[in-house]
Amino acid sequence: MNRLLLTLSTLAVVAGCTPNAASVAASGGALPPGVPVQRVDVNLGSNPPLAGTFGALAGYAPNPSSVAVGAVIVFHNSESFPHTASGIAGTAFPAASPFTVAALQPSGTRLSDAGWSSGQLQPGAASQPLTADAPGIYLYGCFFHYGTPMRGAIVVK
Amino acid sequence: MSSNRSRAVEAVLVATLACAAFSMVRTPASAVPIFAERYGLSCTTCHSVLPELNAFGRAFREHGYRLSLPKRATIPIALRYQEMYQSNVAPPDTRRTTGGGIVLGAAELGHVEAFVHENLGAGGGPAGLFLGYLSTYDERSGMLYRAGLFELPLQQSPQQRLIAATPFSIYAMTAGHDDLALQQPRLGVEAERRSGPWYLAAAVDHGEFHGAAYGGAPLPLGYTTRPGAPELALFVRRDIGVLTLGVEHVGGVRTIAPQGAADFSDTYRRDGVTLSAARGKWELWGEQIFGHDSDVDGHGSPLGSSGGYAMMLYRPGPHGYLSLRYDAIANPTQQRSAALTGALMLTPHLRLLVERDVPIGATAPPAWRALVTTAIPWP
Ligand SMILES: [Cu+2]
Repeated sequence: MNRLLLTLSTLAVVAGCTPNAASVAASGGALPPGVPVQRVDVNLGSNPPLAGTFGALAGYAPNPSSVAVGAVIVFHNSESFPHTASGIAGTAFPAASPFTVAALQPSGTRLSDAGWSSGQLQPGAASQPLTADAPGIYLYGCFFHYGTPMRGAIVVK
Repeated sequence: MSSNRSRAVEAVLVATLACAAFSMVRTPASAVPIFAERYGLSCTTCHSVLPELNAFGRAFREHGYRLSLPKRATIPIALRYQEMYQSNVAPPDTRRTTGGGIVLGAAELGHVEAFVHENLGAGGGPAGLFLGYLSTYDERSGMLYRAGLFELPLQQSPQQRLIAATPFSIYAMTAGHDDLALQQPRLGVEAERRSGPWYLAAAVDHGEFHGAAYGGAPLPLGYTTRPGAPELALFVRRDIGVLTLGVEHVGGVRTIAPQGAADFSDTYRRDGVTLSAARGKWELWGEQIFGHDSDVDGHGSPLGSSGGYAMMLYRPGPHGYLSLRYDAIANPTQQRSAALTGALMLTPHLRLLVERDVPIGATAPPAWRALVTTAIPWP
């Protein structure tokens, strides 16, 4: 009986363990009051491709989004499957996906941070806050659905 | 106000269900009325709570759906219908109810049983073949063979006879561009054998089946995937007293074809351990899976994934249960959830299932779901 209890408690501790988990991005909460927050909806089904100055953009809304320097961007996945919002260097979208597996891990806190990414956003999850720290045009896309084209742009003025 | 009211409604529903479950309702159930009709049995012979199989139902399935009883003529098709209500919907969806029907078909072809599960489409999704296989049991070797489109013999039925309103996270988990989750039906051949305390199963399959019922409304995803090599799946379980311990392995190659870039191959494996224990009215279930993918981005980057569940189940009577389940996955970001589920046969052919999220950490407000399931015609 003792052995059974031991086995059962071990199972309860072991089942559902996730040793290789990436840190889950915190959202909102810690922002100082008064900082404007731009929430970007991440959803392929409800944001179909629209042609514009950056080429066809899809999967994010608003897209492109315009924010003032100092504003904070938070991506929110409202779809039933995973996405990412991951920064792309340069001023034009490359033809093929520029992303590596690194895009699945959350990284960066500012849009000027090289290789910033929301990480894999599970359904219903929100990204870490990303500060629009310098004026410019920031391109980004989804690791999974870059070819859709699930791509976005943020104009910081 | 409205939040208070919905909380009150929720509390009443959960309480009613719990009371009803504890007062033990004894009614027969039904899921594949064709089999019950064929042998003149009540549906409760195989299902104490629809559509979960009881011990007799599992044995019936493992013997190729055959009994040495006199047979009667039957209608070879049946209909199962399910209506679900969910309290929280994510924008832009506004609909809180989802209905879905399936047609089940079974026919005897000599020593072979043909089984078909056709989805009629739920939530606006298209209809299509979900499962369709031939199954035969060989008396001499004690082997069950299946060929066609089937669910992997996982510890829990991931979709066909799901015992909750939400899927088990590890069965739904994908890794990078490898979108072949364990819960997806496989197209291939399978052999199973139960011998004393041992249960062994092996499958060689095509990795998946692209049917109309699988994706819902088609979305352009920017990539497609296909099996790159046959998938091999192995399941071994052994009873040791009140415990059943198991190991499992699923492995194959996924070919991923991104739009505007070259195809690449991802060699994947999912290795797991399972445990279950039953004592009196209590059951404990657990499973832990470790996954590895060799190339999830076309640059040769490997990705590890993992997850599992632990579930405590209490059966106050034969036709109802209460369960508390904890699910966790990391692929690589972590997702954890827990839910309290109650299921009960309300009438001889109607199951009510109510499920409520148990909040873990700071996630979305807890949602609850209620669903009713029925199957016709019944004998
Ligand atoms: Cu995406």
